[in-house]
Amino acid sequence: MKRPSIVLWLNAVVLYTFLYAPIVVVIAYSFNSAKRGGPWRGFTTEWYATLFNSSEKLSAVTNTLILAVASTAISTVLGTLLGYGLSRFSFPGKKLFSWLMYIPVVVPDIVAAVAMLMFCSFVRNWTGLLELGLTTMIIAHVTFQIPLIAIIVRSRLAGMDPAIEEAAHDLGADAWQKFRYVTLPLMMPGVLAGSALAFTMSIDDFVISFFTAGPGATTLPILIYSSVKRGITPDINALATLIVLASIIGTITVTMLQRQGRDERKL
Amino acid sequence: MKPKIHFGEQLSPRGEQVRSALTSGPGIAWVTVFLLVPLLSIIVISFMSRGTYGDVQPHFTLENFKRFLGYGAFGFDPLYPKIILRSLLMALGTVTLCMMVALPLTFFIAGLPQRWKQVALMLVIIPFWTNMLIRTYAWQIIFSGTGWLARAAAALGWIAPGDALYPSALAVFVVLTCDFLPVLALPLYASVEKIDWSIAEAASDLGADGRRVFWHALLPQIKPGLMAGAILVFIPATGQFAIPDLMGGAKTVLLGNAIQQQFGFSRDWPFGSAISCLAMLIVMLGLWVFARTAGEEGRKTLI
Amino acid sequence: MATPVPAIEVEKLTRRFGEVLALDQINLSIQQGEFFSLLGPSGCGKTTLLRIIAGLDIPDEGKVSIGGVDAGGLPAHRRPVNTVFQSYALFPHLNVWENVAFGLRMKKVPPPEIEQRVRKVMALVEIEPLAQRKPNQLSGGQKQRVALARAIVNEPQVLLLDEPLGALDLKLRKQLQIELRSLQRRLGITFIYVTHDQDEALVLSDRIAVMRDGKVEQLGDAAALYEHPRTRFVSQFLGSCSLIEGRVKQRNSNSTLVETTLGELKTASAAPAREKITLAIRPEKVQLLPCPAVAGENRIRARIEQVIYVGSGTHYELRAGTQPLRAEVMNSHAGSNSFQIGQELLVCLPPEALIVLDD
Repeated sequence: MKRPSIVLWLNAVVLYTFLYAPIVVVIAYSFNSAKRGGPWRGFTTEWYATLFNSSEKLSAVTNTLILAVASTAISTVLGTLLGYGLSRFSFPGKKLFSWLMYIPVVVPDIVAAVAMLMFCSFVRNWTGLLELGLTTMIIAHVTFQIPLIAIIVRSRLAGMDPAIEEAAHDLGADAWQKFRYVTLPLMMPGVLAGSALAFTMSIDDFVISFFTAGPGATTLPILIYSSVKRGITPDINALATLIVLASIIGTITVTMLQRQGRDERKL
Repeated sequence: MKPKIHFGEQLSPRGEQVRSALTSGPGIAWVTVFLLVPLLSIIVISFMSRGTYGDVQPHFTLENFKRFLGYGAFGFDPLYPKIILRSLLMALGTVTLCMMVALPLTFFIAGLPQRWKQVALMLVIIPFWTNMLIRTYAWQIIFSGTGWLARAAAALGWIAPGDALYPSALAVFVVLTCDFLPVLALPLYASVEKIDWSIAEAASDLGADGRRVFWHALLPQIKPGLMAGAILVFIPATGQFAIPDLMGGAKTVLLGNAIQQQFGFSRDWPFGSAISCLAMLIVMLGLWVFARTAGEEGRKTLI
Repeated sequence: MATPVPAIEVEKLTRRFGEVLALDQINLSIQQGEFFSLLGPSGCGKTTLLRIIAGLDIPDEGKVSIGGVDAGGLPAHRRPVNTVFQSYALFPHLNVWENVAFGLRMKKVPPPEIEQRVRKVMALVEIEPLAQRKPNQLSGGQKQRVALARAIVNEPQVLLLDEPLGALDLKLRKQLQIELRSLQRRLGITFIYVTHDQDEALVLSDRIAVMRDGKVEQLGDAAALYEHPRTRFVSQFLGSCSLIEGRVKQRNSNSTLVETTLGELKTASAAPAREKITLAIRPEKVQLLPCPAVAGENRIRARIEQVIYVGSGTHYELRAGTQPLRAEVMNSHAGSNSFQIGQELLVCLPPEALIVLDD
């Protein structure tokens, strides 16, 4: 196709500016010595020191990681089983339940979040269980991750030549051996991709956590939100900068790995 | 019923049900209990009334739905109809603007030499994976009264000197567009990259001008990606609450903020549920339009 | 001496897919050590039959016995048969060695024995240097060999091959055909070979079952099927034939006189008890006589409409009145291509070459 024209260049430059202005600003201001934001007053790394001394922020990091690891672990097991089950066995009402998988995609997350909030509250009123806190957040995150992983695993399985599994049986594998030595290794890339995505979503999530969190269970996004509501402080910029850098490194790494995987498959 | 053979494995109907229960069972149960049931109960609760202490009273009422149509306890009040309209306009406006700028952007990227294509694409992917809350609050800094954007606006006489550019509806709109741009651009790019340019060349050989080449030879090819991107922006934009909350303040309340209010300090769950139902209804309408226009190809792109 | 137990015995096998009858009351008996081909166009049921024998599909009616044992209750992994799949179906996550060893590992054969058997089979099909490669690093022909090795390492009673050479180019296919045939002779394993390629079936098989619409249309060795096709379908599917409609005029004990649009034709075989019959003749048996020839028995006048030079031979499309005829002449002498388009000539249809079809 033709080389981009001036108009396309201009549009691209403006858009990239808009996409990166916030990121650049956050990073720059994390080194600004001015206390209440405002114009540039000189370079400092003071806010990073403040950040690492704040137990509130460190506990938010811990909570975020516990939440992400626990929910991803549970949802990887349940989501993989579900994806496998949906693609391999049929049962009454399967079609209906397949639609269930798309609820998290098509329902605005705030609606799902308040629905779960009310649900937890009703259950608590009746049984005393499901006190808002880390547990309810994990449950809520798992609920969103299961369909995600199941969809990815299922599409991975759907792309497989059925003859490969037939060959396993033909060569003497029983049902369990086939699953263990053929199907499972072949769906592993899907499982890994799904859980990586689920993990990222959990770390990134604000709305679901915000509504299902208890008073003690603050995650990084919630911490950022409530701090910003009180007024931006430089140490929040420092925190945001670290998160942004982590995202950039993570994105580049994953993209590189994907490209490498593609190249290997081409051989 | 006789057994059948499934991926080489012989299964009786009973055996298949047992396997289903063991594999699909737990996941389906989890999603049903923690997502489907809560969502259905939202519909039920939206027809109930609020007790004195913010509890839910099981008295059937249509009051909640009347209220956001404007007919509250104190006569007609356009507050909620305005919120609905504003949310719809905001979501549709975001989708439209995102489309209008993402189209040239994706064509720009596709036209770059291979090496730079990867870089340009990566530059769209990075914001996509960067926390939206961070990308949103940074605009508070950019739009602040001491920033040069606000000073420029003041110099032009649009705002009073020293005032910030937020909270305002325009700030919400700009940030919505910026935040959601990668969400639309990425599936769109996937379509643009696959364009068969020989069709466009054939069309222009046959005498079609630039605009007609675009409408008749290019647009049909990228429609699946464009529509998938559009619906992926429309759904979260409709329920968005953090962006209007941080950039719009009390004047630019959207559906998401209204829901949050009812579940926050107002503690009127039935009314909050009713607004949630409305948000779901709007999204369903959007999905219906999507399904009608995008076709099978678009659905695949979305999933 | 007792008759040997057939390797595969299929009785009244029927399989329906919805409204479609994929197999219709099939009966077959395949001998030990035989190279048996199932030949037919796509959708004739040949692959379904193979899958039922492998235990990868269940018949609606009928019975399959493997080595005299009813296989009805046996799942695929307990049947003493192995399959070479059309798509090869190699395990993409395992290397060549692991692919070949898969079946033995599943059966918990002791590792030293696995090592030894795998090495032997890999040497047999000449893939030893590929042992550490993954399937996506192999060419089509190499994949084919791995698929074959993976199956025969299990020493099955019967090897089932589902169009194993279908995805390969012609030259490689020819070479592998020869190798397959000699491999089968050396191993002595019964091969059941599914193909839609008539040449392949003729080259490889001891016996061929030509299938159509879920039925076996004709069964026999290559020469029998080629020289004596019983139906129009078989005559057209295996090689090509010119068909001539006619009426029986006179029946003799070992010949028949048939009245056709080309005049009276004599055939050297007995006709069925019908009046209207169809005659078939292979193009290479049609003799083209240069002009000075005189009219005589089974000699008809025809005009050359098309000349196709194919190197080893020349094909002629002829027309005698309204009847189209094909002739193929070997170019055994230099410059023997002496007929031109538009030329009128005499054609001889020898009585022993005219086949009387059943339908």
